[in-house]
Amino acid sequence: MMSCFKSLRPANRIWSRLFLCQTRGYVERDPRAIKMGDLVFEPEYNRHMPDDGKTPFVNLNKMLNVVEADFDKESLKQFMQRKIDVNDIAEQRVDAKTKEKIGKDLAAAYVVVKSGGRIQFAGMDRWIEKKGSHIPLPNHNIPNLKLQVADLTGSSIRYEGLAFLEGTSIKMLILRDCQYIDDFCLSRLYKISNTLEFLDISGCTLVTDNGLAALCKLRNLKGLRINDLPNAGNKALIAAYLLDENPELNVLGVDLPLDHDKEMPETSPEESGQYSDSSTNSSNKPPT
Amino acid sequence: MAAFVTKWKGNEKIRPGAGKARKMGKFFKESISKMFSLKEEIPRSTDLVIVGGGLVGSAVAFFVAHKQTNREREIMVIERDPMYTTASSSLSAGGIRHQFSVTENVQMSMFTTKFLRNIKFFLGLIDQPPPDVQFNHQGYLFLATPEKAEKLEELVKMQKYLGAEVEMFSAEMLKQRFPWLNIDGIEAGSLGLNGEGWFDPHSLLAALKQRNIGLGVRYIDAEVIGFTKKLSAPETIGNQYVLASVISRDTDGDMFETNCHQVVNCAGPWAGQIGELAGMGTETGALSIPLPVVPRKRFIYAYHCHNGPGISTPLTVDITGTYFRREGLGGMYICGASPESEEEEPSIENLDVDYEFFNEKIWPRLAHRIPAFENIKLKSAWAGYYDYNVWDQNLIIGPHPVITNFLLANGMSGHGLQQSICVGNAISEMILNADTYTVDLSRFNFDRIIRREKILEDFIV
Repeated sequence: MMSCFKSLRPANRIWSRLFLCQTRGYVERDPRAIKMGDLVFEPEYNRHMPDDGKTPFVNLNKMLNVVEADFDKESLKQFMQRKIDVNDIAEQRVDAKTKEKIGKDLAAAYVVVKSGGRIQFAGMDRWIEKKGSHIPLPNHNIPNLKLQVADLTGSSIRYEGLAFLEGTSIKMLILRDCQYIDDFCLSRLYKISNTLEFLDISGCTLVTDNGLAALCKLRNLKGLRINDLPNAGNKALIAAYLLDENPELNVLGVDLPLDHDKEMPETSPEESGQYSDSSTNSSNKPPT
Repeated sequence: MAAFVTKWKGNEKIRPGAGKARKMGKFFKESISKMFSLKEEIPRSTDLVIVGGGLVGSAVAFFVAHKQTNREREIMVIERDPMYTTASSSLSAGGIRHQFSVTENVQMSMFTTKFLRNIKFFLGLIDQPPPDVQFNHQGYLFLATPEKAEKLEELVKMQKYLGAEVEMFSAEMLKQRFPWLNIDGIEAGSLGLNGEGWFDPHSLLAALKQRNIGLGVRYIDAEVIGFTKKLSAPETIGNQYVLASVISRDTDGDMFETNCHQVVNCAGPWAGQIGELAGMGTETGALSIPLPVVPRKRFIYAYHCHNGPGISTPLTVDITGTYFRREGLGGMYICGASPESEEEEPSIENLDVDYEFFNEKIWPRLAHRIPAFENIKLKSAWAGYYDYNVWDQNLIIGPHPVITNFLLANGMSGHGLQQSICVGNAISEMILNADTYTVDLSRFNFDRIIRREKILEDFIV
């Protein structure tokens, strides 16, 4: 068990993530709850239930935050994972004001670098990444700054986090070993279909055949790497279908040969004698 | 305690509900027979009864059980077809789209997509792989003639404003993107780019049922044959009453009575019959209006095409109303269409398939629109029921004005799969929070049927 913990990057181990988690107040509550200091009363009055003269039911349980939970390893893990999910989604969001102030490309760069990834702008040849907790990006708008490469290897980017793609002109996107990238995230990549030329989704365990099929929306894609996708059993077949529609695509990481010409035998079946009619079978040739 | 309770009219022996005393001899007989029988006992009282265990019923049960703390309400789902052999939920084509003309319909399907995206959180069991509904993300494509193109553009603007990811394409752009399409007579089309597509409804139903059973919901294999009524004390307005108990008959023919606090009608195509049992369409005033939901049979045909449209093919809906989509990765497709007029409606007696409808109506139109479909081989076909709302083909949701604890969730007319999750959430909000607030469905109340108002949907498939 410890070995599988060590294979994840330090930022993604559950225990250390929880340490860095601040709850930020993203608790799911009824928006119409009445708050009095620390106490929260949720309205549960129901006009459809017949009124038998008793007072409306006040949900004291939520005030005490008592949850029916079994205190075993799996449900504790699930409870903490939920806290991490909520925190991640909050951190990966960019609000509209920031986007207006610094521009879409720079806001996208911020999200990527903050999540532990690295980026390149157009015309640069070095990576920009987080050093400790310092993000080496300007905090004012720079005109004509185009985000070209985003490398999110091993990060915890999620569906809501991929909103940074909107309005950017990313040419190369690396989503290698991202444990939260699934089919819905791949469908969301249509936003950069005009400019995206290379995509790497190796090691994303949640991706299935249907997610690979959703990559048909990336019409200008020139390179696709799909190693190590244990839940995508038919990835060779889907790669063949994607090649049908997009002949310029190069698919890496698929085992079986993809040459369509080699599927048909080079000589016709009658000549090779394999499918000869039994009535005209003069020579008893063994099947080739 | 109640002022009056109607008795069940009939001479059959019913195991009475809670609060009614029985003779000692009968009680002992029952206890001894219980020891030797393997079947689960239908409870004598419960809080919430859901009539119908398909997608809508299971979604209602799930959201109420998921949101409540510490199992306050006992939930019971009564389903007469536990293997879902004739259930519309399993026989559905499985498509989900955000392209509607009524704003609430758009919001409801977007809610369902969001639910499916987060299915691991909602329906995942601890330490098991998340339930997989095989969601294909290719989207829906609606084609429009020159007359309807402008209206389609306005509707796409409305859908984009609500957050749906839909785009308008001209005929030339469509031809470039989908070379298999014949754009003869087409001016424009609208394509869903994200969140639309199709999935396997039965796996969603199985996942919902599994999670529900884990949350403590009781699934009963029985058929509802009646309700008893009582006046809701201490005051009543007009002729308002309340359903006091549900009488159900199980597979052996024994009848059981279960006291209940609320009843939700999720019976799908058979909702009209359940409404009649509850008293709709019987007496005077608002009760004289029956629930206008009837079953309507629709066919789906599966065929194989050698050089058909490729992997990016959306679920394409032609100007004639015929639709088709890819099925799997082996060159199979499925198609269907609704009949053009009331006279052509097929009989609902059984689920037999009419192949003449395919040969005369569907295939010629498909072959015209997609020339590759001139050479196809029909492999199989099946039929299922729409829960057709004869009034305006849209959802009816909310409490009945006279039967105050009877909630309706019916009449989705072919959109049940897409709206089931949101309807389940809305009913749970009505039960727990007194009104729907995630998606405001107050317009779809039964009152509009009493006031003779219609909410019409343009995009019906």
